[in-house]
Amino acid sequence: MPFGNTHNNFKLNFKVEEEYPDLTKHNNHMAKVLTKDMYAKLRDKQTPSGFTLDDVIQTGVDNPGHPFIMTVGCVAGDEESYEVFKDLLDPIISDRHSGYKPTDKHKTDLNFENLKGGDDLDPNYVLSSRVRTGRSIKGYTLPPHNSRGERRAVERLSVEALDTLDGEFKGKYYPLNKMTDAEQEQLIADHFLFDKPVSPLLLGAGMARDWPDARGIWHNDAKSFLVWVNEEDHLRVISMEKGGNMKEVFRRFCVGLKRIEETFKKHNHGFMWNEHLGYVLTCPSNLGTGLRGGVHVKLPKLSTHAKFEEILGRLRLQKRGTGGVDTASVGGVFDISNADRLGSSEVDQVQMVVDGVKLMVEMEKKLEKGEAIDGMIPAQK
Amino acid sequence: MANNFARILSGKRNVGIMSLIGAGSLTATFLLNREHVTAGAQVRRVYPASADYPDLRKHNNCMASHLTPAIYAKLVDKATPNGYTLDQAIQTGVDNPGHPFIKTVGMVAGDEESYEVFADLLDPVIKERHNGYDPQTMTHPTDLDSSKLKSGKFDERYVLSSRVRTGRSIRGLSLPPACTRAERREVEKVVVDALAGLKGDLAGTYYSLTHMTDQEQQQLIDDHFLFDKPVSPLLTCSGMARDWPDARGIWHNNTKTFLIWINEEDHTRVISMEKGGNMKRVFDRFCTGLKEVERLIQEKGWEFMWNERLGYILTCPSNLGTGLRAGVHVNLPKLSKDPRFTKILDNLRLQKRGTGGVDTAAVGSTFDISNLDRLGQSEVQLVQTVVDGVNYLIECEKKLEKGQDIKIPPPVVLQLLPILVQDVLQPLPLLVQDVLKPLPLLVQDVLKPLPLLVQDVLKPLPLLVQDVLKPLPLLVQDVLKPLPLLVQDVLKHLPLLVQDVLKPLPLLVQDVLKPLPLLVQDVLKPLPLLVQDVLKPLPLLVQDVLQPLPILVQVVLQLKVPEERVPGQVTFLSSSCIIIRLSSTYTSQSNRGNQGPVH
Repeated sequence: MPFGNTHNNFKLNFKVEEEYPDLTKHNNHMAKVLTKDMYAKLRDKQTPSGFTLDDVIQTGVDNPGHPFIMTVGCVAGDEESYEVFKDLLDPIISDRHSGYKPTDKHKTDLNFENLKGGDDLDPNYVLSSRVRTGRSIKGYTLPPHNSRGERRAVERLSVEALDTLDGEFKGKYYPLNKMTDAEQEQLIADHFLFDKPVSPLLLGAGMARDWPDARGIWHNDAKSFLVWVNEEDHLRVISMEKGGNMKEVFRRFCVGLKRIEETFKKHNHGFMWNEHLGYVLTCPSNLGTGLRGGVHVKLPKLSTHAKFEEILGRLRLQKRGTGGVDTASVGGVFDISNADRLGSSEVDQVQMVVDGVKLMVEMEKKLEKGEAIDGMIPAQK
Repeated sequence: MANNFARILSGKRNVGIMSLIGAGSLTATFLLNREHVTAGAQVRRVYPASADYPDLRKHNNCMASHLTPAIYAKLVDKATPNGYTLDQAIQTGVDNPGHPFIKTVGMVAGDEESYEVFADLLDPVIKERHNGYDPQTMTHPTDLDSSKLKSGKFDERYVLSSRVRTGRSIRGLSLPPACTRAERREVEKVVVDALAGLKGDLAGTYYSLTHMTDQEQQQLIDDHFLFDKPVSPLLTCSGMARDWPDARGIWHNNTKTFLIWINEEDHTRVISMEKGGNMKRVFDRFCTGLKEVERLIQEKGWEFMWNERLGYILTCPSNLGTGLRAGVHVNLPKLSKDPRFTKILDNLRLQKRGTGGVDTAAVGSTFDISNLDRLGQSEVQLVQTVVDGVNYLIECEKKLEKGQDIKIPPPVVLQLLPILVQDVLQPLPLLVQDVLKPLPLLVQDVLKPLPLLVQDVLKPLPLLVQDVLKPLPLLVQDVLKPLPLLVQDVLKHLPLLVQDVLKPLPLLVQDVLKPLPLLVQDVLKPLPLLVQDVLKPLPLLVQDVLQPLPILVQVVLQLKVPEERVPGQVTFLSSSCIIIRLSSTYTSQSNRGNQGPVH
């Protein structure tokens, strides 16, 4: 329940012109799609839990744009948001996810055996491998909208489910508001600890309310499988390790996810999923697989090559700095990950990362030797 | 465990659409004049209050100090008529636990009615923040008569600039944490329209944040007028920065001494400022300008949010009352290094800030010194406090320049203490000083409960009066009660009285009547004799009359009576009889009866 938007009925006393936001200087997906007519049509609607149009778009109104990324500019407050505000979200989804149509079906494939290769990325270049996704628990509202009671219920349920994990997945939960200084230090050193979001993109959506109540980190003893509870989504599930064995990372990812899902299902709270949108998450950009599979890879020469961006585009990959989104790269090391989320399966996307990174490492090696790479530039995937 | 989930799941199934009261009291012209606030609007809730109660164990703000689970449970289902809820009001305090040394307020109001609907929480917060001011029992004095300000001109070798600011809210429109875009735009329109009516040295121009040119922006930055989108999480977490920079702007007069911020933390922030130390002129302009703006909005049917309990209503409870911060940028190189500086400021009821405003550090030795208080004292009183205080600080600085020592002034509330006592205390050995040091506070502590004591004295008065008045009816009753009997007693005797009057009557009558018979007797007694005397000779008379009759008759019968004899005529028939002719009738009778006249 972001500020000021819960009294939606009161707002209806004002004319559309008076309430319609000024989006003239905006450059995000929401601003491109939300006309005054659409605003008029949707403004008196609410999801069953009370999430309104203004709740959906507030982050996009407050953040006109990002210098490097075309941001989405809207969020969902619950599963039903994607239905009730279809008229707004479908075109945004289409724009963001390469023309995905309202009638398209999304493929879910968490069968790690379908991945080819991925265990032979050169560790001299690929420093670490990581796959993350998000999951939302059916029956609860999402972080922009939930009350403290709801968020705590999600935490309780999640911790219960995670505590049933055993074997390679056996682990422990560290709630943010109760961890000791020692634990905090260790989590920071492991690069596990997530902070209160500072990005106005996230703050503007209201997902940081009541921080750090009901937030926490769970990880297995081997520190290779990690779950964030109540950050931007109900759950963020991360499988990671040093080096380039993406295959193993992906295996653990798929197996762990399945185990968690089983436990939730046993308690009658499966994950939010449908065959059109795949896994439903807070940000429309994470629909589908919600998967970002990536590596930290050293590409000092390739990254300065004129065609670097083009290569990435063709491989359907994106680059980020090593601090994650909105950060710059350090020492020629880039975070390279899949650009797609919706319309292709988990296996497809990780395959693209595996194949693409392999190719780029070879390009880097060629450039080191002073050779040209023009012949290697791939076709558009 | 399955029960837990089943309960939550069924709770979700039963959730209906949020039912909030729409703006039933919002008229087409946004004029609201609510005497009473109905807190009846219901809020959608899925979880019980205990599940949603925030974790405030690590918090140190006024809201956290007073939001007990009981109060939370009581208020969490309520919303103001516009739909603003408790969770929204406290969000900033939940998200910002506070600082161990600085106690923030931790909550805001979304509209005027918040102060009523959430009074159970806001009143204790206000009380804590404003030195014990109790909105339920106290009234706030408003005084914008700047002519009352004494000696408001500072030494400009020390005071670099003077400034007075306050805020004003437009009644009938929600406050920045809750306002819709339409309401915010309406605030902008109302205020800008009014400001366009200012004349003379107050005439000026409005610069909307969305439409200002780069040049205008640069000029405003150079003038130190431009306000930025708030970055302090204290502000952003309350929602007042939504839709930035829509409907935000700055108005200032042509001489750049009177400035109004629109839709920043409050509907309006009104600022009067000048370089130099002429606080009097700054305050004059402040009051004049404010009154003019108020007059201009009233012409269009609007008014400021104000009531006599809380003074001017603003977003943050810390700004209630006057909402006034009067201050100077003052250079105090020596004094600011004196360890007594903070204590001096405390006693003068002043606070220091850096020259960038709240949460900034001082640059060099130039400080922003302003009043601590907002509520419970009038504008004039507060500015006077600043004037007196800053003058004192400058005096201290001058003394330190000359190598003289300075005194910590007594706390403002104890200015009554004779200066003599002060001079006596000063040279006392430190030991004694330490003993006496807490005295002002002790005295303060004695004085502090006075209002409450007075209250305690006054409080039973109604009851006392009641106790006096209560038996009155009974007293009256007691007076009136025997009346019937009295009347009765009076009336009781009446019959006897009457009796006494009437009683002798018969005798009286008797006495009157008694001699009557005798009287009658006396009258009647001689009657028979009288009658006798009258009647007695009668037979003889009759005899005498009748005696000769036979003879007469004889005589008559011997004589013939002439028929022409006229009746009555006496005819001497013979010497021995007299004929008395009797009446004619007799005659006629006699004629008929063949009786002849009687001789």
